Amino acid sequence: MKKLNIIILLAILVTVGFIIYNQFTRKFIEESAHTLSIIKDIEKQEYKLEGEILKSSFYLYYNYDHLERITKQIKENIKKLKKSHLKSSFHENSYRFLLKYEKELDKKIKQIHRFETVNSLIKNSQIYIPSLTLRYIEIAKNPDIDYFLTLNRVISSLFIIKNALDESFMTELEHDINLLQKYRFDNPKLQEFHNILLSHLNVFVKTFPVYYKTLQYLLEDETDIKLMNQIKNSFIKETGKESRIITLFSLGATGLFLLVLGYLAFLLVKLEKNNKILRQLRRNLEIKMITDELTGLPNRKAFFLKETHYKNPTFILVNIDNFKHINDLYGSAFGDQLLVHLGKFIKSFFERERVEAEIFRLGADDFGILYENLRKKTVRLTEKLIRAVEGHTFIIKSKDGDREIDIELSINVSVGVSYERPLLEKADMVLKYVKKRREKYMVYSPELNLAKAIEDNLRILSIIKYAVNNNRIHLYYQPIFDNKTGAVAKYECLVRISDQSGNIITPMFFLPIARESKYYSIITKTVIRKAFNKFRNTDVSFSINLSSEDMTDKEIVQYIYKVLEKEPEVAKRVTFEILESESIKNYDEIYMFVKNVKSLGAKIAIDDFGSGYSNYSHIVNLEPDFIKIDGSLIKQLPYDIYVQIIVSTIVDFSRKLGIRTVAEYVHNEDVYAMVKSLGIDYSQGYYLGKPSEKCCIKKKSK
Amino acid sequence: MVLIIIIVLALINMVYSYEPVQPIPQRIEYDREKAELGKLLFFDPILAKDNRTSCAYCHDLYTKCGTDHKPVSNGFHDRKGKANALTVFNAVFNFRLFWNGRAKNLVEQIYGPVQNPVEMNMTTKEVEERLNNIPFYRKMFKKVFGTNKIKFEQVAEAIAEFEKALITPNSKFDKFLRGEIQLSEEELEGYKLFKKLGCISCHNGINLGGNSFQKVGVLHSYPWHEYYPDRYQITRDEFDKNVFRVPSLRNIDCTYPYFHDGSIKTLEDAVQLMAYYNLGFKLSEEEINKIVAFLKTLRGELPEILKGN
Repeated sequence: MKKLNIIILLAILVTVGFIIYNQFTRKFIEESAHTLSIIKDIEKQEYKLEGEILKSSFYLYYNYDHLERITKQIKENIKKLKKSHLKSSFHENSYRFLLKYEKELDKKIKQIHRFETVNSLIKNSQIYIPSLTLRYIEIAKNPDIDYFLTLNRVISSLFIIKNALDESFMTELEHDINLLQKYRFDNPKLQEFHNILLSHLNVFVKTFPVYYKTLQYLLEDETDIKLMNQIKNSFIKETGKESRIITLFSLGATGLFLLVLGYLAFLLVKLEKNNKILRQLRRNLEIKMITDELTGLPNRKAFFLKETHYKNPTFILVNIDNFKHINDLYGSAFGDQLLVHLGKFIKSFFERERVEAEIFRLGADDFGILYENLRKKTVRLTEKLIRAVEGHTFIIKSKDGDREIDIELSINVSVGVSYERPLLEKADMVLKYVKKRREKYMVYSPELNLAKAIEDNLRILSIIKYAVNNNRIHLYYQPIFDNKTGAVAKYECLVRISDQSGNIITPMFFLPIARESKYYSIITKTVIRKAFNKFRNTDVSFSINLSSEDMTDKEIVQYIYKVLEKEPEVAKRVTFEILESESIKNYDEIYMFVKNVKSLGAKIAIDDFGSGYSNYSHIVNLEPDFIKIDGSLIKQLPYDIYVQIIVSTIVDFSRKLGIRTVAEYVHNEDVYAMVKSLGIDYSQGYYLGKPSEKCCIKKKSK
Repeated sequence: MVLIIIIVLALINMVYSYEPVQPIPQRIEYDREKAELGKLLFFDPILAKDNRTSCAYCHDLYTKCGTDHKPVSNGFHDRKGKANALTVFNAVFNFRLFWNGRAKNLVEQIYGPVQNPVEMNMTTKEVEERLNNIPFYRKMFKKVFGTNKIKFEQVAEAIAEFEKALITPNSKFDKFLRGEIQLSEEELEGYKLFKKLGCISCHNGINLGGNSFQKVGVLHSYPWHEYYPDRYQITRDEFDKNVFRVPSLRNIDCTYPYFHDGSIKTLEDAVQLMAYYNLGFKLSEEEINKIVAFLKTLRGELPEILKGN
């Protein structure tokens, strides 16, 4: 900055210098030209003066005003010169010459004045003398021939001397004058004439040398003209020197100017270079800012930037199940590698599918896929993606001591899909439901929004409280079909509660919270009571879900015993679907409960078998009547040979143990067909019948 | 100003190049305000020690053609001067001033009489003091020169400007030169004689004189006195004894008496004596009458600045 300031200052100085230089140069040229023109004027006037002097000597009458006028003009010009450029220190020499010239001119003027005097004197006589011959003859009665001839010779000499300016005739003249002087006349008139003649000749002879000398000097002496010439030459020379200095100054200024310009250019280039680097840095930074360092994919920030450009976006959020466990097990470096691989895998997947999608890494193990339109394809794509990822074996290089080993790994993923903005927020919400519901994927719908609204525990608790106190605990019934007859074999009772505005809330949302509260046993008891009430006067079988907590709760257990004992008719038609969980600490209690209810006529079904904590050993002890094969298996039945094997194995051993099997989540034709072909006894699912508050329960025909 | 005069002269010169005499221009450029101030000073005896001898005391402009008609002037307390007072008319056309031409221009001339003990007998300081004491002059000078203090240079400049205006144009002879009128036969013959006899060789130019130094007494010597204001006083050259600046013949009939010593009372005598001293012979009465008749045609008009008030 400091340098730049100096440069700016220099530039200003140079500019000011140029302006001053320009002004100065112009003034210099003007003044020099002016001065030179005066010098030339004087030269001309000198020649004019010479001409006028010549005229004054030549003409018989002359006007001395002319001479005076010219000398005055020269004097004026000298005055002008003294005030002109000549007074500058450069022209000291010329000025000295000028002073010399002025002196010389003054001398000349004095000589002119003297010349005027003698010129007039000589002319006076010159006019007079020639008329004398005539006058002599007029006055003299008997002219003297000798006198007459001498007179004529004198006149002739006079003319030659005067007009040829030839002094050599002077002796001749003087000789004749001597001759004339000897004459004496008796005639007084003639004597007077003679005297005047002699006086005139005397004046001529006396004056002529001065006249000659003066005229000679005025016409021949060129001292002043030479001086003028010297002034001119020295002035031109000095001006040349001066202009060289001026040129040198201009060269210097131009040089400085170019230097400043060059330096400015250098600074500019440097600045541009720096700018370029800065721009590059910024671009890199920007890229870095929107790029995930690990996977090289665009990051969360990039997602928010890009997302806005989409008109009809589809957003798929992929999350690795139990990624935390993988990290814990193999180390975070391993996890990181997995993430890199997964990123690449997803990217190549969409490339293979020819979908122009952008892949983002949004968080720890969250990958986002964003593409335009193609909503109809999305479900298929999602399912395919999930299968592909879960079917892929990731080979991760790991270090075991010094040895590098490849670890093969398969992963499960959960997926949330959203078409609506805010995409990430909604997909993330969906993903949470998916995880909770052990689904593989879900697409966002507004109902989920509501669910989300009531996810708040306290709110749900208040709803539970409200539902319990205001008889807002409802039962929904989902039919279970006999695969052989296709008829409804029984209904599964599913609990629901409703809030103040009548919104129905599924157990997924409220049961985990209710379980921690004092309302839990009330809900269970209410469900049992309501189910019994519902089915008391029918011959239809029904099932009620019991958790391990229910079965270990003494109050509930006692209540169940009491009900079953009280109504043995209904008890015969009831099936308790029990769910194993890790929270079971005392299996004996469970066994005891199972044994007791069975003795009271109720049947037992093991729920969600084939997933989670299914334990074959318990089957022996529990001696269940039904096994409900887990929905996650059933869903995949038509597509997965392994699942088919697992399910057929379950069916096989169940049959051998005399346990009948139920397929959950039969949600389409394919699944239903497969379920039947595998010999599963019962089917349940949205494809066959959704849970409903009202169900067509056949009246007991008595 | 000088330049304009030169140009005017040059123009005249072109027209009358064959004539050794030029007419006086009908108009001359000058600073009217300055000249009017000069006029006041010219007539004001404040410039003289005796409070009587103003410029106009010896240069009567209205009746005596800028002279006093005395052989030599009565200056300070009527002391006699040494030379005949020259006219101030047409002085601007003279190449030098005073009889011996010691002043180069009108301004320089002013310094002479003011400080001459037998004329105004003042110092320039005294003049300045006196004028500065008079509010009227202070005001006038301020108006003309823009300064608060009056200086003698300004006094001289103002008077010179006034004198510059003192030209007498439109004489009969000038009108003749301009081709406006004819001269009478006598006058014309006088002019021819004037040229033929050689008078013209000294009395030429716009002022018929005033442009060269010439000797009086060439063929017959003129008496010489030490106190004569001749060129000798300046050059101390024997040759310059009785050499004077040629006096102008403009208005010559009203600027008597004649010669530097004012010894000649009539124009006829002056002509006759000039012939005697410088031509060596006497002119006939007829010749004199003719020349005088011509000389009388040189009487011009009263300068414009003097008219009207």
